[in-house]
Amino acid sequence: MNGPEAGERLGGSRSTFGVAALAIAAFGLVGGLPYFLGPALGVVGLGVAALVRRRSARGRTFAPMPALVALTALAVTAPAVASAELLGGVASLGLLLWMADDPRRPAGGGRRASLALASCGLTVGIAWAVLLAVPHPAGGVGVAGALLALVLLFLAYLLAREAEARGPGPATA
Amino acid sequence: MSVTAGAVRAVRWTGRAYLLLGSGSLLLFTAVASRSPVPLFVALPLLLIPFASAAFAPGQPTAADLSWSAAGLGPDVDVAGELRGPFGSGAGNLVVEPRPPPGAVPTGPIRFARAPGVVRFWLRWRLPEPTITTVRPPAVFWQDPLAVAEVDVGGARPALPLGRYPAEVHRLGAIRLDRTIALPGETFSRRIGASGEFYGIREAAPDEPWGRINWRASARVGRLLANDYQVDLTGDLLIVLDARPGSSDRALDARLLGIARAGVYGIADALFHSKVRVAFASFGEFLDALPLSAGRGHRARVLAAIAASRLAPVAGPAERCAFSLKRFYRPGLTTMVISSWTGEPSEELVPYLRRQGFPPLLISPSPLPLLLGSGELSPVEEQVARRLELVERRVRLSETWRYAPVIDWDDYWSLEGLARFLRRPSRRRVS
Repeated sequence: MNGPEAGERLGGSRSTFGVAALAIAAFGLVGGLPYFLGPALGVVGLGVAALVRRRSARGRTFAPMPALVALTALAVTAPAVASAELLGGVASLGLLLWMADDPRRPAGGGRRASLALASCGLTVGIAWAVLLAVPHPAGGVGVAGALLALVLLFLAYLLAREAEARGPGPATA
Repeated sequence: MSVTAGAVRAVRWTGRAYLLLGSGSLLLFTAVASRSPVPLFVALPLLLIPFASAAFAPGQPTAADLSWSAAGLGPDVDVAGELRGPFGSGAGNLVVEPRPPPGAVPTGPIRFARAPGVVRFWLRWRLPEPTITTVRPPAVFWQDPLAVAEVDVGGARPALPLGRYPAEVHRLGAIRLDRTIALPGETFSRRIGASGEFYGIREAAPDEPWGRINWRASARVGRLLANDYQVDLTGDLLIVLDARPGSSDRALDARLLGIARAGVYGIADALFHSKVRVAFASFGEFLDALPLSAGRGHRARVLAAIAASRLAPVAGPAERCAFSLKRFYRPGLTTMVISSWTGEPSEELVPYLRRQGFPPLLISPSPLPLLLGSGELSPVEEQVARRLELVERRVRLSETWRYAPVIDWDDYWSLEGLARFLRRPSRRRVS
């Protein structure tokens, strides 16, 4: 990889799209929309997002918007059952995994983002487990909201501490 | 122009981060309003991921030193660059955003080759016209794989000097210009000296620099002998760059001056290589002049002055230029005037120079290729307009032929007209 002909393998594999589409479709199936409208809406949203990301270099920042709109529509119409809650979180994580695998960036984006995705997945898992333990739906929202606020505060603290610790100085790759 | 490593590194959120946070907040609001935890679970990853990406993504580099160069011919610019720094796995998340010079069009996607500690990139631009410029270093930053958080990366960032001018100017060096200063009593006292071609051997002076001692000859005869060199002066030339605004369109004037500057740069560079003594003067509102001389130091001064020439805010009168030139240079010096010739003030410059004793040669970059093709006219109308503009310009230039030869420079990537004119002196129609 020394000459000008050398290039890197870019990302954007079909497997991450498949994982994300599967997760969103599963969430759509347990959702409140009739027939297969839920999975279709989710997959179409993700497909449009993938198309925008592939076609437009400038628009790729906001390319996930169609998928987010579809996901929001599914979340709003979904019934408040434990499977829908879990699959909603998984669908959201699938979308993030797809976003990490950008075709215009070096391959392996999903692997590089695995730590960040895992931390989000862990939070979703904890929140879901807590919600299962608390039977009342309103109480569950309260617990999950509090958990979310706590995690946000913890992350903000981590971020500030790390930035302070690095400060001006040599790199530590 | 470098940015030192170690600047404070703050996380910068991208538009995508705000999109995710906005969507997450909307879902959160929906969850609370509808008392349903499902939107909350969808919102959780969207709200967390910007922070998690910034906090947990590995290998954020703090410094990456850039080294880059430009190659290619004519309008094509091939840039190859390399970023080196103490980043290991962070190379995959390093983003390089080039900043092409004004008008340059990328002709292909930027290509990368990444390895631990090094990122190489190649890109290709096409320039619309000859250009002398300094390319700003590319923006280098770390970006997480989800493109939600960015951190600026420090390190050395040298600017890239870029010079593209017509290829014909390289052949100007083979043309021997007339020796123009041949006034009575003038002697070339500096013709034999420490630089130039080898001329002969002489006895070394007591304080002779070691570099000029001919050691082989000294060893043969048993005493110190030194080399003499002859500076082969093939001619003298004064280049005058007309940096006055000539029309009401300042952007057009600036663009034409850029083309003229590139041409002057190439001509001066080629003439310096053939040991021609070159003087340079730029006339905007007032005259900025560099003396007539040769040598590396003078070449660097002249080329830097050419590259630094900018369009003057106000056009100075032509007679001021001619009189000012007389204060700096002896009359009789061959003068090459580069002027866009778009307005009245430029037309008076050549007659004034002639009257003050400077035999001029005018090179005029034509504004027509820049004016046409704006898309406002139909193709037929465009063709008619082009012909009318051409006729008008030819008429105006023909009036100048009474005072000086004129080279209409309408193909910016070729100065064949100038080379042909200098190769065939019989066609010099100086009145």
